[in-house]
Amino acid sequence: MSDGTGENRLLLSLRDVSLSYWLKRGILRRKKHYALRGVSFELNAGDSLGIIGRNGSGKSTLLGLLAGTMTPDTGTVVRHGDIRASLLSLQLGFVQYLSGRENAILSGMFLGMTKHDVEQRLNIIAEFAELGDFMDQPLSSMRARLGFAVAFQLDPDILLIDEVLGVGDTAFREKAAQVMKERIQSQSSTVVFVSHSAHMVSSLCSRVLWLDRGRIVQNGPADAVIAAYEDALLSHEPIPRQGESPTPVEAPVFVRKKGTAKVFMLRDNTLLPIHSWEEFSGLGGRSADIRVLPEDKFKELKSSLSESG
Amino acid sequence: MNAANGTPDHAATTAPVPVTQIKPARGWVSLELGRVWRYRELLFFLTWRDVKVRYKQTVLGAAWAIIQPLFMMVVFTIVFGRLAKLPSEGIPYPLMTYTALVPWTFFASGITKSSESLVGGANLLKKVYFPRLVMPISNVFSGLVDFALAFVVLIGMLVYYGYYPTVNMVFLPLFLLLALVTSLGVGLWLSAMNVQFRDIKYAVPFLVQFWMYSSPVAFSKSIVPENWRVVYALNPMVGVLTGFRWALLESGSPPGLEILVSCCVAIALLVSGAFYFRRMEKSFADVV
Repeated sequence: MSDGTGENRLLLSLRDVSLSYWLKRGILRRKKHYALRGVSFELNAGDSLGIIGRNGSGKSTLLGLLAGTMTPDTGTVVRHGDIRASLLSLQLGFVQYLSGRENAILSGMFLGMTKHDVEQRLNIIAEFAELGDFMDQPLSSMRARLGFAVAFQLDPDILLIDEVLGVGDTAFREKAAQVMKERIQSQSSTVVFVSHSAHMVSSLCSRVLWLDRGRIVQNGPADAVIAAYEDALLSHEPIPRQGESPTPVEAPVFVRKKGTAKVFMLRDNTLLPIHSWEEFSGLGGRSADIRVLPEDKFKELKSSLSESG
Repeated sequence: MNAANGTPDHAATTAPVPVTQIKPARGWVSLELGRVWRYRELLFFLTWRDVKVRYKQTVLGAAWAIIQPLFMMVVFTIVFGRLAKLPSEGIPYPLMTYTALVPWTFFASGITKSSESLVGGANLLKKVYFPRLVMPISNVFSGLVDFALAFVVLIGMLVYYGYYPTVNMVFLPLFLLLALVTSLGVGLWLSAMNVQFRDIKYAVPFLVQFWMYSSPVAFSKSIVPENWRVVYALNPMVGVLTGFRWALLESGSPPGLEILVSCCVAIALLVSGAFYFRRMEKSFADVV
């Protein structure tokens, strides 16, 4: 058990959280879509937690939940103490017609700093962005640099990062990526990092949470989870849900590229050709399930199916 | 929302940590006006940004605040005053319409801008948390600068036509507040609805036109039969416009009952709008 004050103090816990959207289907008809289902985990001070998963697996929704821009349908998000979690957002609220200084203040305020805070740090911001005298000029080419410099001043209890690591021209990008990496790996800051890139996550995070179709598949040490995730990506098996036996109900769909793309759906060990989006969704297909296969891999799959069938 | 000692398993060993539980909202939600107050700095900075950006990105800038009501005044005077020969109770027709156009323009631009506030600020809504009420409120507030500029012209016109302030003028801030409450009330309804139904964007210009011609902007309320005036005041802008005219141009006792009716409707609009807005708030980040 934690001592409540030390490095491993519990900051935030999610208990059986579910969140759904209403998808519009015509004027009055709508359909419920679960972005997250029964998600539970805890976050301690000093953690660097990576979140991986395919498109549509619920990664961004989970970040929104942590940032407080979304509220759960069922379950509870518990903040232990006066915990502030903020999403690292670049150029938030920037407008063209204001000066760099004015934009920096406004952006900082949106990110949760007080006006006084930002004004105090304006020199640091200008220095980091290497802008100096340009702060009173209208926003233009300095946009990207300033955006990063302001966002990086933010020091919340939990920093949430969605993909962005480097911005701006090449030299500045390296600098930005470097300070960001240091921040994530630092013991004194708590970071949740979302990415498609398993490589990036494994190099930066100690613990990884793997999401698929709104559920947690695995939550554990980075190496183990990343290895399992990559295995699953390479195999054609649908990802088994935690506590469920693998069922081939929602078989993946393959797009074969040869001039025009052709779509097939894997059902009962046969490849059904798909001609329209309606047909695709009628069979229970979802955009998140689409995978692109190169020509040779596709032939391989086809022959393996004809052998077994 | 704040429940101390919420987790005995972690708080047992040391001093209790204040625990915030974010749970799904059930039924009617509280307005959380305290939170809006805590974000007042952001509110005023946003208002200021709104004004500054608008004045900077247009060639004529601040002049637009005056051009709009002034040209409307000319058209109304020619069409309704000269051609249709509507009564103005001895008040010069341009002065009568301009006195109404100043608060009307404030109201109309308030609802137009605030109805777009959430959809326009979608990027912000998705990324950071702050009380969403701040956005439509700042849009309505920023209209006050335009109002002030147009009002300066109104003072000039009053002097030109030889109208000097009476005691009635003391009540003018009250009528401005009534316009603000009405504008914000309608703006809250429209902005929250706009997230769900993008049709609102197309309905608003129509609504503004419709509302203007059914309010005594281009004409005097005297053309409405006496015993229908109270019913007419169910439109809260009737209270605002007659209030402005009474405070600046007329003498005698105020049209008290009509203003009272308008005030009640305006407050009902604001309160219901605020609750509707808060109730829909949960879905903003999902939908926009």
